Amino acid sequence: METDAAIVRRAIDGDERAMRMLWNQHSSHVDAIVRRLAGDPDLAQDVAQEVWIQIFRALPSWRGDSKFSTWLHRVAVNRSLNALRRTRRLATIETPIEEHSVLVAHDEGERSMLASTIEDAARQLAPGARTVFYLHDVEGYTHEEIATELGITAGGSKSQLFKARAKLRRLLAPLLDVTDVQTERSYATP
Amino acid sequence: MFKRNEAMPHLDPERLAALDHDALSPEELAHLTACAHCAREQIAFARLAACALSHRETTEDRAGLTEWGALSAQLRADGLITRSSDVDDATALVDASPVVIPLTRETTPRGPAPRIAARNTNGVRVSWRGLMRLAAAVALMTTGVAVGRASTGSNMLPSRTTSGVQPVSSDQAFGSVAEASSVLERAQRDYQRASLWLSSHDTTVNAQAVYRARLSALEQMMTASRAGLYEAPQDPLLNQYYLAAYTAREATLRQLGASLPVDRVMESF
Repeated sequence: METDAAIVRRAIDGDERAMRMLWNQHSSHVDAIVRRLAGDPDLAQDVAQEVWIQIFRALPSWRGDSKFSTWLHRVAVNRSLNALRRTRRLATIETPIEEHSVLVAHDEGERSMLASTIEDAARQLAPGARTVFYLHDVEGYTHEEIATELGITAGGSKSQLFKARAKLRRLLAPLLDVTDVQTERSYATP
Repeated sequence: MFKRNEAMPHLDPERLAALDHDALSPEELAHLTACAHCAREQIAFARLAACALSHRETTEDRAGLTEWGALSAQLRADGLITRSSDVDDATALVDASPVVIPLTRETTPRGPAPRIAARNTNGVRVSWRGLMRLAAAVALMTTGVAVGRASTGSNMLPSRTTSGVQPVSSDQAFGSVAEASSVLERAQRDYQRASLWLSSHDTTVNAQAVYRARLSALEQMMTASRAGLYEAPQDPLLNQYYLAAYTAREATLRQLGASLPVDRVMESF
């Protein structure tokens, strides 16, 4: 089987088949990243193609010192953030972190907005808080990396993360709450 | 076991959310040890962290955001594609076959597939050959049910389609490998959507025992197809088996969850 390095070399040389192979092998992964960071299906659809074009443009910067999938993941996150920033949907990231506008939903209406999945709940966060949460808790970025990526301070990243987690915990109460009642341990043993 | 610590109010949610960053003070630790409410909240935040981690792997089997035709046209316009491929070329088609599960090098164990035996959820050792037979049998059974429904005129799928690929009747020849592949891909997506829709709407079967038995069998199918994919990770047929079993498992889990009494939850599976 052809190695990643060989396929990438052909893709850099403009070989459509090689590019398509990369796209086929990694599109579901890249799509997931774009979806998470966009938080909106239409917006994700809008920026996904641009992200892929940027990935192909960046191929020569992969030096082979890390796995291609690892490199691709980072590039996809970075290019998604760039693309989203250009759409000005991440404008709230630049707002002071002390502002309570970091959270979109207000407490009074929260009960009606309880979510059953983490994705649904995250959509109810402001774009900046959602981005910090995804980068730290899902993608595994450090606060320093997030600060560099988003142009905020590491302290600001932490603050937004804790607010986002607290909000998500409330929105995901049905999923996360610990009950004292008897729980169903396994479906295999009734 | 727990008593409310009256000397200190409950810990702020944002403080609990920061437990993996900042150590607790002795007072906070004492409160957390004594307060049932805060202890539950701490567990809830731990669960949230686990959900976030698993979320990275659970959102990768949806319909794609990009379409190669449009993307390649843009790449060509930008001068990034200088050598076009023949899409009808059989080799290219194999290369282009969708890989629907995240079997990356990071997640795929190296080495031979578990040929000897695997352990199912009940702790019973079953042979690899037996698992493959089981997978084939269930796949045939699934196909049989689908054909049966179709032959009786049942509407198996929601009427709304997700792609521009036209339905192909059973006696219609495919014009090309690419066309057949597109139809297969569409059918796969429709199957997923229909399975998940049925899990929320079909109340004809509401027996937990049935769901549990089905889940056990589906997990064996997933084990078998996953083991096969270790040896042939690009094989589209094995991917389809895996995806079908995975989708059916998700749908059944939802059905089982919905059938449980309100005071019971599925804690693990």
